[in-house]
Amino acid sequence: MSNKQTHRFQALTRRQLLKAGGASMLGGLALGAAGLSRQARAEAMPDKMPAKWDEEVDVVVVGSGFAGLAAAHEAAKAGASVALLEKMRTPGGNSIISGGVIAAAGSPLQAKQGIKDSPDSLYEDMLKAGLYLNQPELARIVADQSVETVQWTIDELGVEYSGLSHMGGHAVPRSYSVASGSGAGIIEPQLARLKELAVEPRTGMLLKRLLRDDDGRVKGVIVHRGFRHPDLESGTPVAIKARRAVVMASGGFGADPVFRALQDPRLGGDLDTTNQPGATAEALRAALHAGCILVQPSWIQLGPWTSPDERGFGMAPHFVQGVTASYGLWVDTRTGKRFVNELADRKTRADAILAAGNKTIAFADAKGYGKGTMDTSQQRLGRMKRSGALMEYGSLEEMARAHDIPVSELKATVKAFNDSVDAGKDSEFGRYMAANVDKIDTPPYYVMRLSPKIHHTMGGCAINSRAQALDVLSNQPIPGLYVAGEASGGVHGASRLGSCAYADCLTFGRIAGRNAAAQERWA
Amino acid sequence: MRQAQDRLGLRLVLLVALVGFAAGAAAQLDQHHALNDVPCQACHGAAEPPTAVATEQCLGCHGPLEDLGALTEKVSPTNPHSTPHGATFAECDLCHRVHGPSENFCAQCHDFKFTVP
Ligand SMILES: Cc1cc2nc3c(=O)[nH]c(=O)nc-3n(C[C@H](O)[C@H](O)[C@H](O)COP(=O)(O)OP(=O)(O)OC[C@H]3O[C@@H](n4cnc5c(N)ncnc54)[C@H](O)[C@@H]3O)c2cc1C
Repeated sequence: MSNKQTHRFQALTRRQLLKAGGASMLGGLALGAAGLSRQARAEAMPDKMPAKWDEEVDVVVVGSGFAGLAAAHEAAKAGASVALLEKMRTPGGNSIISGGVIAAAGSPLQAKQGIKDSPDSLYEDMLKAGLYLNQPELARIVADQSVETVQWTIDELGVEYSGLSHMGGHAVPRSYSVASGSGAGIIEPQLARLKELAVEPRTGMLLKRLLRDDDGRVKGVIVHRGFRHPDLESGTPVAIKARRAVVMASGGFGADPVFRALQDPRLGGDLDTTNQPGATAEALRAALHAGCILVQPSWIQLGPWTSPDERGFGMAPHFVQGVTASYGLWVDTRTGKRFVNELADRKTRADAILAAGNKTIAFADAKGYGKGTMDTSQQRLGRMKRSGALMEYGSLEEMARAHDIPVSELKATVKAFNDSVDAGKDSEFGRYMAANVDKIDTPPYYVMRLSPKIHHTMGGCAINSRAQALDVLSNQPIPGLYVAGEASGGVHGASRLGSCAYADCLTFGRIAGRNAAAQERWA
Repeated sequence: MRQAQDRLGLRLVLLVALVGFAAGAAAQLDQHHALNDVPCQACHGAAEPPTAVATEQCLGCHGPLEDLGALTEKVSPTNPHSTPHGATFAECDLCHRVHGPSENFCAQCHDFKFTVP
């Protein structure tokens, strides 16, 4: 501890003593401090504790996405009373609207399909995509526990999966696909199990402040009850005491242009996002105010598989990723040539699209569409066409005309790829070729235009392997505060791989919930 | 049988409400309930002051949700009573307000131009 810091701590203690006004307090304090050794004291400005708490529970959980629900689940199972707070009118955050794939390396489904895989391989993929900025210890936990986490969703929650997907940047197909097709297929069973444990999310509850006492411990929260997004002053303040701990699972800031622009000035303003409107940074700001460390915030991921012809995430990813990345091609419309490995990680692909001035399309033929989607009734096809995102053409010539692509170049590109299919190896970009990849030659041809959108914020609060938040001055865990899911930073480094957020949020949510419930009570 | 008739009646009222709103008539749902002899207590019970009404209560007369889904099956571009986001996105009061203007909750993320009665 530097002199200056020591000095400040002494100043605090003296103030406290004066406040308490007695020598007997001294013993108590000294004991308390010893009990908190190697944990951070509130050397940053401590908060005033409320004269009266409106409510008391063991564990306060902020946020009702994967991480928050998993934390609440483990805490309740361990016998803790839980207040589960959600600011929006519906629970689920980004999780409930998400794409429904979760990574598991070395899984039973892979074994059944003869796919060799291991946690080490997933870990390496995560670090490679993350440009080796990932905190190795955290990424390790996600990779090593990935199979156990998926198994937990099956055994404990009864989640149903329909098969494996191959997501960009992964060495092999390893991502379990939720049968119902979206994150709701996990959130709904999570909510149902929580209900059995007598925990229900309370909506319209906005976290305003984490209350950190001058002994350094987070002891509760100030929440606005009756909050109406986006008015941060709406609702009435309520003080909730957290006898054991607070778990911050408030998600990322993908829908907060002001905070985004602070981290990367190019990403402010009117850029579209795949995120829910409540994916904003006020909870993160409250955590920073309480002494958390913000790490890697300017790594903001753009999804490469979105379309400018519809809003938000939309239906494009199902086609662009699900169909064209494995069974079709992406081409630069100015050259008629491929410009990236369609199965590369997201950053590589989004950067390549941006470098081409977004003048790019993803396409597949009728056979490819059939292989890449479970849309046997073609219901989704109809919806994608009606929304204007998906275009259909009777021939490559027609497609080239409609998108201003040099037709002979386009045909040469398709021929080169078809030769690669024959050879069983992508000579141009080394793209992974599944055994069932076929030549592109059967009309109709389906096309989407590409335009990357804000998708994931890799940065957030620094945590350790127990999901404890670290203190900005001491770098020690902040007693009574856990952070999990997209609100934390460091797991994914520069770029998160597809299907790894689920694994991260559920794994660390559970870790946070267990540890929060096991934390010694202060009151 | 009588119950079935009641339900049919309610659906008709709903349909009339739908048509009325499409034509731009600005009446609130409390008026519709009152005009159809549904008193405050029918929804709110005897509690004083009255408390918010749960979705199950609405569905007791207007439901089940699948029936409402069938009523709005043809609405473009998608059926507002059939969400892929699960039961928590099928709470009636996300869109329908009885004592104030209703809102198109879906529109916060989607380009669905629903007119909500
Ligand atoms: C469209 C889309 C598709 C995706 N698909 C996939 C996929 O298939 N596989 C994958 O691995 N990842 C996917 N992701 C990423 C992944 O879904 C998210 O990273 C993950 O769901 C985040 O979970 P979380 O619990 O950390 O946060 P969230 O699920 O976002 O939950 C956080 C909650 O906290 C609430 N909150 C925020 N601030 C406050 C406050 N001040 N007070 C109270 N509550 C607050 C929010 O409203 C929200 O409900 C996708 C993301 C999106 C947007």
